[in-house]
Amino acid sequence: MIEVQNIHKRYGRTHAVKGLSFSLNPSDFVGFVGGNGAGKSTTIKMLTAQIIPTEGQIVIDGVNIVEHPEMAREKIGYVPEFPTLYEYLTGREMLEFVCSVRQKGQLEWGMEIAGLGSDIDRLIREYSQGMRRKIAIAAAMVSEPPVLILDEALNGLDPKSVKRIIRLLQEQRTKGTCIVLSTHVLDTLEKVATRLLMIEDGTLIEDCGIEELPRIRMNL
Amino acid sequence: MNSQNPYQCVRALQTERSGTHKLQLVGYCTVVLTVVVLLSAPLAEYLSGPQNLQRLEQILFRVAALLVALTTLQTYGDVVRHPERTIFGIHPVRSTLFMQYVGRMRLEHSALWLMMSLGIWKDVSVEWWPWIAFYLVSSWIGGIGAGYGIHLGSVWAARSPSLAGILDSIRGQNPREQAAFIYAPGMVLGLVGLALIVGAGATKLAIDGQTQWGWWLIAPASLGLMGWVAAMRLAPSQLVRGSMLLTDIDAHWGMVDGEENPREVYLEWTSSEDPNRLRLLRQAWRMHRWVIIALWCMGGVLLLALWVQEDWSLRVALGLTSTLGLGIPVLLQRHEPQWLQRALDIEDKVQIKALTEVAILLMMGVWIPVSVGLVLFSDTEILIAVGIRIIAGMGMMYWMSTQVVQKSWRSTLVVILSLILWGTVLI
Repeated sequence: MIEVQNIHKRYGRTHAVKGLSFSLNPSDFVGFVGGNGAGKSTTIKMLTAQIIPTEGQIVIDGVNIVEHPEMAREKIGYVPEFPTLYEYLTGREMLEFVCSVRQKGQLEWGMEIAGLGSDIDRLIREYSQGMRRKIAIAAAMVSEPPVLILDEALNGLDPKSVKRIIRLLQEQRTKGTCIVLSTHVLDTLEKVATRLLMIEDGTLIEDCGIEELPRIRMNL
Repeated sequence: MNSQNPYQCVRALQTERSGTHKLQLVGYCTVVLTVVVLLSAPLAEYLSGPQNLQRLEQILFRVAALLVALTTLQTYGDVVRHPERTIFGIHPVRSTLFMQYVGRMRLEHSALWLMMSLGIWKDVSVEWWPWIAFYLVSSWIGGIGAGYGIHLGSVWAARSPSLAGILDSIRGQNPREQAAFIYAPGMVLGLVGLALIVGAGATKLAIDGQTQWGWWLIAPASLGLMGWVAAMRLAPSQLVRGSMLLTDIDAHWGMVDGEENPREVYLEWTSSEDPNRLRLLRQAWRMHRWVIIALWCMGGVLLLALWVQEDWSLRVALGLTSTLGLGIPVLLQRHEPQWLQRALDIEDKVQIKALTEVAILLMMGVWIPVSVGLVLFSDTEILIAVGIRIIAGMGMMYWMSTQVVQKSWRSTLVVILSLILWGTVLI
């Protein structure tokens, strides 16, 4: 589903990502962890066709991101760490917009993911940070893309919402969606992830099953 | 939304609900009217003298070039640095619909520039009018269409291995991709500029009675149509790449600035004792450096006007620059963390003082060269006229700072009133 081959990212003299390689399969639920400045967000931006690798190849569901980023974006649902939304649209209209540009997705299903009840018809500028994040998650999931990449997407959500969204993510995983969740909260991963990728100083230092998490936690 | 253009639909809803569009429209119309009122009579007088057709050709070309320069910068913003690209850019882009949306928006928004460029000719001979209007509309279409084509072409050029050598040789300290973006507006101006020269010459000849030359007036518009066709072909592959390259370039400068230039801030020595002023100066230098550079450039132009004794140009330009300078407090305040101001219990009057002082410090880019010019080249009459403008500008900045700190709708009124003031009293 995702093939990453020896990707590098350099900015001037800064070498942010140093030769990452890994391969993810359908129905993988991957926890992507690393400290601040480890290269996690840069890697995620490359995986989601937001920036171009300086070297290496990324293939998502058969599409090479470097050669066809516009096609790759069709395959990816992405929740950025700091999602930005149209302030003067309602939550419902935002999801309608996403369904329209993706030419796929059921609005009702999107609203169910967001779980905002009647607040779905309020303007986004009136939303709290948590509500905004729910809309961003719903926008990424509504068209059921084969790959979901969530960058710290569960931060700021109340425990009940975290539980509900994890349940929905699990459902998507059983349908074959490959999910990458970047997070600092290792407890969350323990409950949902099947695999763990750990990055430090731009290099992949762990690629293992989630059962290895206690060992990794001991070494932190 | 599914049955319509989603980008267009979002824009319509956002515009309708944000509630500022009517006020903005009033502001823009005031700018257009003021410029038309200020420039039309002197222009007609200038063209009534000998060699009027040569003068017409020269002025017409310059007005059209200015129109193309403005639309070129805006088309770059539309297809490469769109302010909402962080919202729609994480999804696939429906390129045809997106181009229709930006094209329509640009025609609507830049129509005011066109009105302004047409309006300044209102006092010239009526027989000249259709030719002048034809030429300017053709230039306007040329600037927009060619702008889209060349900016999307620059995205392709930025990643083209065959152009890598050329871009490396002209990029200086910039990333290679940025060189393509930097030189694209120049390419638009160069290419459309040739058509503008031909069109301006043809307009002169057509007005002189040689109407067979009138066909050449469509040269800029033809380039625009070709540019638009090219843009529609390039958009499916280059729109997304453009956004990716720009994110890369921004990230690059974020890293490099952090490495190489962490502390140097313009005029920091003036504010080491005042934390509020220091914070605003640092914000201004790191976020709006281009404003400071543009103000010094404008100051240089005004100094030149003083040197060649262009009193009238100096008064108009200084008035308009001081009015545009009213945008500085708005720009600075936009990025102020209001929650932090409240949490630290910083009083409004302290914020207003800091905002006014920093705005005045930044405007020194204009006012210092002008003051030097006054000392070196001017007579008493112009000294008083310019002095009044500078003092009035400082007063307006204080008023504007007060309005933006208090989040008053009257901030737009300040701009409108100051324009009227420059237009009717001070010129």
